[in-house]
Amino acid sequence: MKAKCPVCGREVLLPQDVLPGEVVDHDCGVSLEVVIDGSKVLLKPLEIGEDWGE
Amino acid sequence: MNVALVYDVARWEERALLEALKARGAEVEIVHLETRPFKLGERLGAPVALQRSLSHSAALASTIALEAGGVAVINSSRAIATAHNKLWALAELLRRGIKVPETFVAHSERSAMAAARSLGLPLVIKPLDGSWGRLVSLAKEEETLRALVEHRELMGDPRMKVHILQEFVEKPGRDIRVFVVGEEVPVAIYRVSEHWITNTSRGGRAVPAPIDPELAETALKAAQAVGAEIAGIDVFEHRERGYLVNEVNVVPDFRNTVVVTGYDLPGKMADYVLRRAKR
Repeated sequence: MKAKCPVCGREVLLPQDVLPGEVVDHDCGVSLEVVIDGSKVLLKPLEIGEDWGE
Repeated sequence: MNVALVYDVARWEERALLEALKARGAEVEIVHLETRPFKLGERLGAPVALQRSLSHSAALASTIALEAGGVAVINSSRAIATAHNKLWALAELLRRGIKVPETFVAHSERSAMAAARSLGLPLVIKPLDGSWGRLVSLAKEEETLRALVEHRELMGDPRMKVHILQEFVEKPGRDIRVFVVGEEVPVAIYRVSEHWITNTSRGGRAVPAPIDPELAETALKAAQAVGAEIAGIDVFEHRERGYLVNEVNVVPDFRNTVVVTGYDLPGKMADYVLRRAKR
């Protein structure tokens, strides 16, 4: 499965069973989050929440 | 066996847990919080859910909603609420005789300065809830502490007006992250750093750490103190007082631990979740 990097515009390869919200690190150095909208698979830059992590 | 995996973003950890559950024959119900609302009291197909939301507030809210529908969530809302409030967690640890850094709570600049006179300087000042070491500050001088308190009081968030002040524990260039899964303490790492904040998310280097019986017992008791079934316990090594528990993490990051130890922690967690689902 393929999607377009919203930062550099290049192609990003995704696993067939990609999850909504899955984090993908792209070669251009950006971390992307998978958005599944119906049959469309999109990517958006990952935004770190203020109360995230342990 | 059905189990649910609850998350907001799926990182290496969540993918590894999903694969480990599937490899053991589980049917995994994916619960992605950004796209899935909950009707309070609704039932999932799965009797047990593993909570992996990075957002503290989303983890607590979704766990409460799932529990209302009869789902056993690992970890429970009580464990999440307790562990994410640093003061509450320390109080529960202390009540069970677990050693923690000496801690004061102060509600004003005046009381923070009084706490500092008792604790001595340097000291650590931190918010009630935080993660990845954010807003945890070291005050070496009275003036620095006064400025930190003043800045925190102007932040707008009323929770920032509650100041947790702790003794600064001189660490041997590292602290310990110990993992608890059910009744077991399978693996630990040192988080090595020249900086006083040793979180791996802040540049601390993960190195495999041995687990002696005292460390195992301390970690297990700490997890039980907040009611956590799966947890990462942050432990300081104090020169005179031995192991001090600083935090209990109920949705712990573990990628670095797996990378440096080779230990199959996602597999261990998956085994535990599936055992719980059979109960």
